Amino acid sequence: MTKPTDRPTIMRSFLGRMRGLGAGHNVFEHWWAERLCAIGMTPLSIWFIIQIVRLGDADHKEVVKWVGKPVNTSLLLALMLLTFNHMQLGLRVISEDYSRGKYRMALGLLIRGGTLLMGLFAVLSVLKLAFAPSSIKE
Amino acid sequence: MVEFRLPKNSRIGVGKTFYAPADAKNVKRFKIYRWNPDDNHNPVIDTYEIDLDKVGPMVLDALIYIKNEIDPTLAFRRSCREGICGSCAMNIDGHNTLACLKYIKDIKSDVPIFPLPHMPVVKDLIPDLSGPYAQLREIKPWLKSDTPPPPDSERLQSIEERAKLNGLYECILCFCCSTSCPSYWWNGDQYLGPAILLAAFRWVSDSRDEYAGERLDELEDSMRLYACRTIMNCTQTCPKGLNPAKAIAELKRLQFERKL
Repeated sequence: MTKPTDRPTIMRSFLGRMRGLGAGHNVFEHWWAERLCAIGMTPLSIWFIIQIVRLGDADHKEVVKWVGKPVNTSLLLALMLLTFNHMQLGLRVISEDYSRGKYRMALGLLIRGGTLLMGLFAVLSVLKLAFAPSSIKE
Repeated sequence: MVEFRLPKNSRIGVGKTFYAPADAKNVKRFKIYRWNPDDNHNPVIDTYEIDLDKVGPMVLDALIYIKNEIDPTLAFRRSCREGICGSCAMNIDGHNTLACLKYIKDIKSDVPIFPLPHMPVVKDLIPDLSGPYAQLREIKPWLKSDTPPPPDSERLQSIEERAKLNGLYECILCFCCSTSCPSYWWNGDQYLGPAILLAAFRWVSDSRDEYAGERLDELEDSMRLYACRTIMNCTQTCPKGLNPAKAIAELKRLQFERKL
């Protein structure tokens, strides 16, 4: 039951509340980049899975040799860049559903930082395999 | 903000049961959400046993029968009883629809009836739609044109231009779609929701309107338009058979086109 001492905490008009701070703009690029990454990842992922299955019985030396071929190195790097960029864009969209204000900001930073580090790790791993693999015992 | 459990004072209890007379043959049970702001109780589900031989074929007929003959305290909105005013939008048997267009015989079990989901409740089956109405004003659902109309006639459209409004102008703003959308449940104060975006696309598509660019500018926001996650509950639930999900996709396509 409402008590006489109760007072409303929000008296702003609904129109004022809904208009809020206005449109943020420059969102289309985010939305479009997410889709472009997904389109690029589809053939690359299929290629990657086929290659990994094909290399199932290969030893370390053969895998290093395979990664070192320029075509494979390029495709692997493209897959890593697209995957982690897509991950960053997609996770930010998900976090927008569940967070507000400073939490949205903090989650956004965490997602950007985390995916950047993971992406860097993946890219450097591929580059290291391609250009400076660990010494292989014959 | 997402909530996984109902707040303590919104949890639903069991209410009263109104039994059918002993001589009733064709009995169906209606389980209806009841909440009254004037007492300090949680909402309950009241059960009404209705003799279908005494009521019309639609769920709205049964609700009117309950209010007139069984329990005058039941509150719900209704007006045209033929699917054109949008007043009797509610959640029937798990789907948002208009009570006046929903056949009782299409529901095999008992008939559960709730107010439109995730809206503040005014009383019983009446949701507070102030938020969506304000959002409708926000998109300026009226003709905006700098060219004055011809002095002696109305603004004309070709048959082709008029045809672009088909599937858009029919919306009756019952908000079945918006209140079926999880994205709208979570961020209904920022995301405009399918009903309003369909209305926005209706004005962007109107050949007589000269403010399509400004309208698209206002929509380009991570929440207002882009919080649509293409869940498509809106299109599935629309009692008028419209396709708000397609209207949202078209708005995004137009934003794409103007950046090419």
